[in-house]
Amino acid sequence: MYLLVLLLPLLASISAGLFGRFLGFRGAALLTTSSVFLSFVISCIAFYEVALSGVTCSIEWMPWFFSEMFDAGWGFYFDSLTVIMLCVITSISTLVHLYSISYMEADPHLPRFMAYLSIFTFFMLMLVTADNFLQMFFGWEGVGLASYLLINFWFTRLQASKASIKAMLVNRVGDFGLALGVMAIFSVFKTVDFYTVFALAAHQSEAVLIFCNIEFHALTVICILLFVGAVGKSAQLGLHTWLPDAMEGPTPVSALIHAATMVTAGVFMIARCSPLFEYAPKALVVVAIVGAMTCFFAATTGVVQNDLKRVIAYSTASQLGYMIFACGISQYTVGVFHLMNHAFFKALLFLSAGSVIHSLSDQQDMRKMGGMAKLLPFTYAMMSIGSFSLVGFPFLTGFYSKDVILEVAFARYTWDANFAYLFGSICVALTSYYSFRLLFLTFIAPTNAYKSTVKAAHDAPFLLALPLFLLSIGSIFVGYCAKDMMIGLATPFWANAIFVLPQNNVLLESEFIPQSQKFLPLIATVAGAVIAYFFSVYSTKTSFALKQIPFFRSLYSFLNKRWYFDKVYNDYISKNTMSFGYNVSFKALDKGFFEICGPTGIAYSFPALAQYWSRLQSGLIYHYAVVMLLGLTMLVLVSSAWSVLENVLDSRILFIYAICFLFYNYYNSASRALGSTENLEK
Amino acid sequence: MYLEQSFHKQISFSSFLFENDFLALFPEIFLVSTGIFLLVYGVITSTSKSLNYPLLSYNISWYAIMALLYTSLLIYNSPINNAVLLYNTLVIDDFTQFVKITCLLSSACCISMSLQYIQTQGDNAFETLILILFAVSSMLFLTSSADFISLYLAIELQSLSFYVLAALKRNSEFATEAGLKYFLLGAFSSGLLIFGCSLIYGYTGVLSFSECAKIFAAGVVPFDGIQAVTTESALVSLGMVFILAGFLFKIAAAPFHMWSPDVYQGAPTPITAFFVITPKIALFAVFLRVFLQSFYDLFPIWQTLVIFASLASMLVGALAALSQSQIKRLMAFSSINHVGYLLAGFACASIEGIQALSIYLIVYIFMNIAVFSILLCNMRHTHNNGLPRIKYITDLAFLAKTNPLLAFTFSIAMFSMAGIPPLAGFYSKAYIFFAALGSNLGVLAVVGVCTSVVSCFYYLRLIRIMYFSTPKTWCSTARVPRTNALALAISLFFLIFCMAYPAPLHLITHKIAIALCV
Amino acid sequence: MYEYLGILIYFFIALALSLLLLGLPFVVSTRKADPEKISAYECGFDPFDDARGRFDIQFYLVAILFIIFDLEVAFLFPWALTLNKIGFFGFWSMMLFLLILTIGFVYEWRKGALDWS
Repeated sequence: MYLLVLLLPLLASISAGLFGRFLGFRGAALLTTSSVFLSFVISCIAFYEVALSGVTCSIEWMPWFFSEMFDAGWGFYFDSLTVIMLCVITSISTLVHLYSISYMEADPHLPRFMAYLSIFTFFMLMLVTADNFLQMFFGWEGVGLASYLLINFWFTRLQASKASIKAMLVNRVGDFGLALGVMAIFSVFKTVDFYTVFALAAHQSEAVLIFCNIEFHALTVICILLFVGAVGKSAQLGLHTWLPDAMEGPTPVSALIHAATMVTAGVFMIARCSPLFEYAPKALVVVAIVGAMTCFFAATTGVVQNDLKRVIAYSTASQLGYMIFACGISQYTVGVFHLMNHAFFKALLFLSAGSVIHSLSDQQDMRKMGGMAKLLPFTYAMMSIGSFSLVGFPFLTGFYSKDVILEVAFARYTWDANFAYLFGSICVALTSYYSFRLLFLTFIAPTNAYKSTVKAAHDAPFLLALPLFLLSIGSIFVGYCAKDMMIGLATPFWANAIFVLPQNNVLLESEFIPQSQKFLPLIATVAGAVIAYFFSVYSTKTSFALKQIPFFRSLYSFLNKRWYFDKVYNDYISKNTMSFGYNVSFKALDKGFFEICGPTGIAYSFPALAQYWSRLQSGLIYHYAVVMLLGLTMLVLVSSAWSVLENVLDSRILFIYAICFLFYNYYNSASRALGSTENLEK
Repeated sequence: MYLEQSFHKQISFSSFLFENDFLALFPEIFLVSTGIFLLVYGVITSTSKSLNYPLLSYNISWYAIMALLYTSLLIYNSPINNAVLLYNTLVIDDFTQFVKITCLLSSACCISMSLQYIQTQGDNAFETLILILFAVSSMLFLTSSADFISLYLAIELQSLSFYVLAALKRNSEFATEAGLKYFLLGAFSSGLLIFGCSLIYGYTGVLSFSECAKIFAAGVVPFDGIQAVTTESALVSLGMVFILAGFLFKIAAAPFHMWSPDVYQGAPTPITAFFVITPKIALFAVFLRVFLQSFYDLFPIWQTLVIFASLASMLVGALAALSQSQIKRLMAFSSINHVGYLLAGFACASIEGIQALSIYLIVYIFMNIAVFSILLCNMRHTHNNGLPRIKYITDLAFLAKTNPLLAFTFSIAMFSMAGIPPLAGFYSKAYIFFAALGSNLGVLAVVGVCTSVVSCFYYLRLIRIMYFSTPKTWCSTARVPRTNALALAISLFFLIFCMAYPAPLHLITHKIAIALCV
Repeated sequence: MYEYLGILIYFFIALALSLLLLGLPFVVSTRKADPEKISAYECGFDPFDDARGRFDIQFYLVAILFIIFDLEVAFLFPWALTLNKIGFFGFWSMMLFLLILTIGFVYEWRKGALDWS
């Protein structure tokens, strides 16, 4: 039954993708949505059995790679972490499927879109249910592929194509790190199996890897390499550039992939590998610092973005930073808890944003909106719930995880945790600012929209509204309901799924931090909201005046241009790599050296050789006899004087002859080229 | 002494001979007497005035096919499967049985493919079939031979039949030239062969393979109280080199290959098919026996030579074929190239090597049956000056347009020859290379792969010509004759599905390799 | 070595004899051409002519066929001498051989190789 969770989306995707034209729009949509919904139902049953009843399930399905020590099979492992992810993925995916039916109804390629969504769901489920690193890597690459296909769904749009290629390439860097990490795991543990690796983590905690004659602490190297993968997939600082661009894709895609599920794969992976990370404290420091910096960077950038979806995208990156640094300070459970909560309210935000965009005839610029609260009351309500939840308004979902993250960061008295706490607290205010700015600019502020768009504006139809409504319930209640289960003190929920060294567990200490610290996030939130109101609605002139001051102006463009990350990457990395690739490796090596000594040269010299050989075949019988006689002489010579000849005919020397032949090619093609130029001159 | 003893026991001598030896030799005797009978029948009937000089080729072809099939049945059901016959001159075992049946069936296939050619060409030379029968029976004796005399006699009978077959088209300048060249060079090589045999005999005093093996294994010659170490003797190795040279000539391996393109090109196409397909397996059989049984203790010497010949054949076959424009000449060079791979299996001299060699031979036979059964189809031409048969490689251009199915089968055969993965040709080549690597002959494997890539070029060029170039003369294929179609279907089925279920081939070849080596 | 001395002497005697026979005609012969001498041989060749001239292939065909049947006598002599010792097996072996030879003869006859036309 558990395998049905994976199988249903796969089958739905195959049938919608390959036979969509026979199924029709309704058929494809119905098939995929109902499959994913069924999958969700089974996930809930699995959640009950595995997480609540505490029956961990492991399925060895079939062998995949078996080569000496290397034994990666197709296996599935269902523990609390997996089933939490299953519920999140399938529920959000079901709602997004449902939403897409209405959102994409005008698109002629709806079956293809549904197929992509389903295949994404399948790969994501594969990622979280894998019982070895290789299978997880398969899912990891699969979601990357699905993401590429979905961003590029409107492949005739240049921006979408560029964004998808960028996402693919940037992710490739991270995947490279992950692949190296898996290889390092294999070289240290001689297996890629999760149970074995995690069981041996403590035993191998002193192991070293030798690279370039330098000893490295093996687990640290492994964890940092794995984290590079997470950086790519979860858009952490450095490899984050693809995420905002990925908003070129359809909005449901942004909700499902680039907010709720795929980008959290990195967090999931770190939580999954918690036994490894626990024995690599230096790697944890790196994780915490990078997470905190991402959080801060994305929040500051999000403050000044004008595109509705980009703001939410940066908010996603910022929240991912929270989750990552929660993991970095060993509070994986808190990270996963925030992951789950974030999935609900961020999906809600994206889908509401989609609803806004949809009703405003695909207008995404917030400056050209305003006053929509009256036109789109339902969407406004939904968006408000999402935003309040995001900023951590008390007793909404976001509040329970976000505040806990800050509290545990405060309660852990190490420098990296302090650093993370500082950045995290600042980000609370920034989060509040950009969330409310978004709300105010879109719904409250005086309208700037075109008359035609306002005229056509309409609130969400039922199929758009239903997922929003369901998600809003999630955004309100999930945190409260799941708090004690997932991050309650001494909860048995996680069983062996997540491993934390006893000295790293600070959940208890976090209950005893000063009360003022507990109130700080709330104060920051309110402050952010007030400032946002002041600048966006009450006194827009002030914000305009601020922008005239050179310092603020340059700060504004610095933030608006995303800290010039893209510019630096383009100017200093991409450009040089491109010119190297074109001038050196393509023109000089590929088309030059290898072409002349390789294919072209061979193409010239083999016919020449062939001509030569067939000229030997003169047709004269005494020539033949002489050749035979020479051959016989050679045979006699070889048989009698082999001890002398074998020095000449040693296989290594033959290899050198073969190399010389390449230069013979060069000579041939050069003379051929000379001949052709001479012919041209004539 | 020996003679006198046998004279005294003449009664037991003759009864022994009749009871077992003739029973075991019955298939060969049957084939030879059928050949003689058909000769008498043919010559008397075809010159009979009262019958108005009937055309007999077609009729005798069917008789010949039947004779070959019956002989193979007789061999298959032979009551004696392992024996040394006629005073150590002939031997039969699993290996010879397999090789003989393959020879018989492949030559039956050759004749049946040529039926239409024989009918339409109108030479009315029924002697062709008789000669083929004699050649095949000589191959049977060759396969069975267990001493140098029977080896030489059988090989000469075969060669003489071949010389005549090559030159049979008397009014064609090419055919007579080919026959004459073949005859002269063949005589040269026969001289080498018998000179080698006589050197061996002169030094050891024995002619039987097994006796030779014992002497070389002991390393001494027990003559006149003088104990000479033979394995280090230059004369013995010289004799062996001469025998090897004769062998390499017969199988057209470089550097003794020069005759084969001219002969294959000049001879009539059915004869070329017969030359390409049938004799190699018999020759390989007997020389494997000679070199693995008699000369096994000279292994280091002949291995080097065989490696040398193998490398040379691969290179010559791959390179010289690049600039050929006539398809039969191309096939000749392709066959030289294949011989290079076969020799690579030979050079391993291990069970794997022999097995790989046998697999390669079988696949080689099937591939060539496929190719020649297409080349032997008559072409119907729309104009009077069209071509009766495919001769130049550019003539193939119309094939894909007028008979796509035939073109497709031809492409499959070419892909298989080039060694493209799912086909049998790839399987056999890979097996040869694995065997070579297993015997620490990396050079052979590497060069083999390289030349295989080069040879891909000219095989694929044929496909390119078929599918992508415009023909100069348009002509349609006539209906493919039923016998050709049958041969084509069987060989194609084998080529495509061999990879799916290679176990029978594997088991048979393993069995014969063990029969030979142990 | 002494056992080979006879061969050496024989060798010299053979040489001397052949030289003598080759040399004598130049000394003692009477050279007088008459029509019988300068007319063509039976095989059709002129006695004094260019060696590269044309000739009828039929001569050679007949000669070769003749040689085949001539050589069989070489087998028949030893067979005849030992016939009483090799018994019926030996007898029938030779009969088989002769039968095959006869078949060859029948073939050349029917093909008209012996017809001089």
